Amino acid sequence: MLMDFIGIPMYKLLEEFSSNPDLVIEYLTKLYDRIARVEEKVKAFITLRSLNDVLSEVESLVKIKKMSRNRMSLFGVAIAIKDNISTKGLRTTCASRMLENYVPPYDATVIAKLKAEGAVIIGKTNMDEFAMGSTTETSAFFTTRNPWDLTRSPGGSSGGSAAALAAGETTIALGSDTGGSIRNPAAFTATFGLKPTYGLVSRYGLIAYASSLDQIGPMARNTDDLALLLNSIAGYDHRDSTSVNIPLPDYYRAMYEMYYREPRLRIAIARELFEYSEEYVKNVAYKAVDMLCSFHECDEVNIPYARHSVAAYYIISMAEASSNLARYDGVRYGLKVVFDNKNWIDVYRDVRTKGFGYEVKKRIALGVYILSSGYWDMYYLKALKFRRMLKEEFDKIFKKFNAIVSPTMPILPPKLGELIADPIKMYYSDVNTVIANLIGAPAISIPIGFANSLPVGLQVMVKHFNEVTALYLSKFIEDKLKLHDLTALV
Amino acid sequence: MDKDIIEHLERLALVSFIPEEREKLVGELDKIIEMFNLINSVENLDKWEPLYHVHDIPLTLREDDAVGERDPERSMLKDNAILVEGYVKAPKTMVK
Amino acid sequence: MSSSSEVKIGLEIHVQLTSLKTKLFCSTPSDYRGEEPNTYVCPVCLGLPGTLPVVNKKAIEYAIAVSLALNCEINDKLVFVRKHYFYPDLPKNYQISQYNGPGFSSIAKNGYVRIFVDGKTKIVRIRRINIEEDPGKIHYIGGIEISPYSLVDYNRSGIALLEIVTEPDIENPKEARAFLDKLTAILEYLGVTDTSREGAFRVDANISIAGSSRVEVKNIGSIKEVEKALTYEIIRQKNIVERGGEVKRETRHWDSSKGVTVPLRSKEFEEDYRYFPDPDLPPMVITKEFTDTIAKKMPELPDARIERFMNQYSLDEYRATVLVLIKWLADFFEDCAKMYNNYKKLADLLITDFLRWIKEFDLSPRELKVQPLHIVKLLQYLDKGIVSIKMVKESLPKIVKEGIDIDKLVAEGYTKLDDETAIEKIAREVIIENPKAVRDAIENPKALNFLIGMVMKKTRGRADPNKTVEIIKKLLEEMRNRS
Repeated sequence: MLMDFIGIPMYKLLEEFSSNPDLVIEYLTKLYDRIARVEEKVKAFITLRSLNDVLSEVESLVKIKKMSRNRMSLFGVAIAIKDNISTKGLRTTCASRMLENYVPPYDATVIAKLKAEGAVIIGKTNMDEFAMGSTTETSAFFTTRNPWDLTRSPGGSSGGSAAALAAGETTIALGSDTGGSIRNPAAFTATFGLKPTYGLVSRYGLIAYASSLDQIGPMARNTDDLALLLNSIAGYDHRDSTSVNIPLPDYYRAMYEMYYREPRLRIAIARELFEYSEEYVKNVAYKAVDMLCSFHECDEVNIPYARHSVAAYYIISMAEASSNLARYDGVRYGLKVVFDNKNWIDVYRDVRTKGFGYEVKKRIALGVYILSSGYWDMYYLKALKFRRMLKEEFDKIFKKFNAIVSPTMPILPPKLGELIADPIKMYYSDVNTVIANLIGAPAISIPIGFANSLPVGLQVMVKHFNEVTALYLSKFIEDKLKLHDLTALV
Repeated sequence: MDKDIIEHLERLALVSFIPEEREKLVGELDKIIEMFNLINSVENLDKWEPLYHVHDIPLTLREDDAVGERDPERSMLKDNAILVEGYVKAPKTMVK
Repeated sequence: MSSSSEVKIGLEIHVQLTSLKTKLFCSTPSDYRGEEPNTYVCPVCLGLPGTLPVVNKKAIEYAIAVSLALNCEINDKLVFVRKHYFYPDLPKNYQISQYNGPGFSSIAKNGYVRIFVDGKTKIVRIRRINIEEDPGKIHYIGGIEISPYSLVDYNRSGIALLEIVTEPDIENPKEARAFLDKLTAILEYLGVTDTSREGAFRVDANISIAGSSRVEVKNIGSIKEVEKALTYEIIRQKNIVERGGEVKRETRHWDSSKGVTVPLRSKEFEEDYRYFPDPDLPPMVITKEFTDTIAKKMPELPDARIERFMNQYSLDEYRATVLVLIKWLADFFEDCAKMYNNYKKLADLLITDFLRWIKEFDLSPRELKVQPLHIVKLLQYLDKGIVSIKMVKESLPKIVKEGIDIDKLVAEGYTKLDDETAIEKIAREVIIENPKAVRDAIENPKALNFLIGMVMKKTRGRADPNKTVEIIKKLLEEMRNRS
């Protein structure tokens, strides 16, 4: 029996809980102890469910498990959910004043799946407001701190989920990724994060930022957990018309099959994406690459339009965001103002001004600009043409290579206040991650070391629906570097 | 990008920037538009068709016969909207 | 003076596809009329954060069926587009519809409808057809002006709509009426909608007179109102031009209670809908197979039926058109025609008196007590001379309203009265009972009608009119001679 549950991998917990379901209660109680000790410093959660609520829910769960031997693949495991994923009856805010008191009357598809698998949702994590940001500093409520250095950002926009993992406040987590929002915080917190292929995981219930780019993805402290979690959330959903209907592998099994087979892969080193990175990051990244390439076959590739990709990403995401956020007017849900005898235009403007923070308003305004009749062809249409061109470029690369690697982020975790003060620098810090979103390809961030005691991640991007290869490389690296299940001393 | 354009966008998007924000915005806007304009420096871009959907998947078609539920308790609105005799209260639309 | 060709009218029609069981993008049931507000809703049609649309397959089939029936070119791809504007009845503050742009356009365009008006055939071209979602409905406390806030019912939000837009080919209100009658008939024949349901058929009109600006008139509640609204607006515009003024390009609102159009507040700036293809809905490829399958399932449409009526029943275009455009009446006609072959006589009766009584009694065509056999028998008795034309007209209202069998009436003695002896007996009664009228009639031969009418009344219209006249004249002559 494991006395100290802090940081125990999920795959181990599942084994224990399988033979002794009652252990779940002890596990959760200890987890909440941990949260009580560190949360004040980390501030990962916007909404944390009370231990009482969680335990009474678990009571019935344990009964079911004992009676039916129901194969719940995530039975009893604590999961933290990014606060832009709808949880029925549990406040979902998107870290915005606009939704500060919004309680969804329905569950996102992934939440329904998690519940069916016996996962225990402990709370909703902090994020950049409406997922717009790279440091979790645009949250309207508070800033989350990087457990590895409390004066620094944990990354964003899924910073809360990543910080909770790194601080040992949860075993697994969900994030969302539109331009890097899972991979960025994973890299900055020495955790694992995967943005799945677009359409692999249902978006029904994910509060939209940019519909053609958003994906929900798993975040964990090791590769096995990541694969197990992906298994639970992936799959066709008839409620999401962009969801892809193809047979899926058991990612965990398939990853292990590949792992035991030890195939020698062809890996592309994305030259520009290394070049754009800071010295410290480059050093750690090249070391990891050396290790990879001592076994696998590597070659450098040219990524010609990396910085242009950032432009295309922001054009498309701001345009779609301005549309997706049009619905927030306080009438059916959301921030309320007194409005008797005032006309709707003034009231809407008042609600949206009070409800949205600066970064969100800015992106909405720019999105409206991009879609307006004078500029539609010049920016939006062009960006979509660029998107097709980029996709074909990468299709070509993936014909020759199994994976493309680069540092996940070109910088180390920034000091709080540093990156947010320079918006353009912040936007360009997404240069390594946006490509995967633009072309819809899966990409994973893997911890590969520390520089100045700060985490560095390596990104592995693979072709559509090839998550198994990415997971295999993650396991490969994890095995060699042993940088998994790391818990920061907070 | 000048003040007029910002005002125009505020009207279209129904958001307002407070003076400090407007200051900040005016400062950032040139650089952001400069970034956007990178897209116009890509060679031969006009030859390409726009990509609206990243995968070529068929549109999901739902059967009309599969009729869903009604919501007699108004569970979808009661906790988040202001209801007056079952109607959702909204600002007036008659503009004088 | 201005000729009719100066007036240009284009119509924009929004039709709800009431035959669908669910809404356009969610499976919420669609039969919301008369239900408690906000009970026919779900996260999707309320636009709750995180929700996504899934399109109703049958709605697309209906849209294509209508497009085929209106002779349109159907696009090879169906692309849904977001149309943005802020309004409390629009949950997402954008409406999912179609538009024209690089790689996307309306589901159908370049069609036409043939109308028959004033003895001539005319073509009204269809510019485009879109399939889109209906917004919710806004109510007000007291009137729209004094209401401190609005009350919104989202039951209607997400209902499937077809938007049908014509070219400005219509030149007068009568043609507009004829077009709308034809269009509703086509839709009814297809079975995609019941246009009589409240709010299921809405018309906006664009009117301009020679060279002047185009005025949009909204809020025309029914087809009957269309003729009135158009007539008013044309006169309004002509008056302005005649006085030397300029017609302002604007949107006006039809006030049916006052019978006038009033300006809606003009917007300070142009509406920019910021259309772009909806990223939540991949395009649907519309194959020839898909369209052909729908085409095969299509029923006989009005134009085809009119032609068939003209050939099969030797009816002229006018009679055929009137019948066919009222589907239930054409069905009734054909049921009668199985048993009776004087088609012209049958058509005339149905189109005139029969239809008039149906409307007068406000009878629902779905719940008629009168059956085709009743009408057929009536006509057969007429042909045999058992009843007279006057008796047909006199008994028809009762037959139509209550479905009374003429056999019964005839058995009770409701037959034509030819017997001169009987008529004379009644005529004498009438003369005795109405001395003043008799004196008037003796003096003025034209005042006979009252007495004739009294005989008709007493015989319940059965007395042969000609014989009655002769007999009364004879009796009066007798009286004149005696005095």
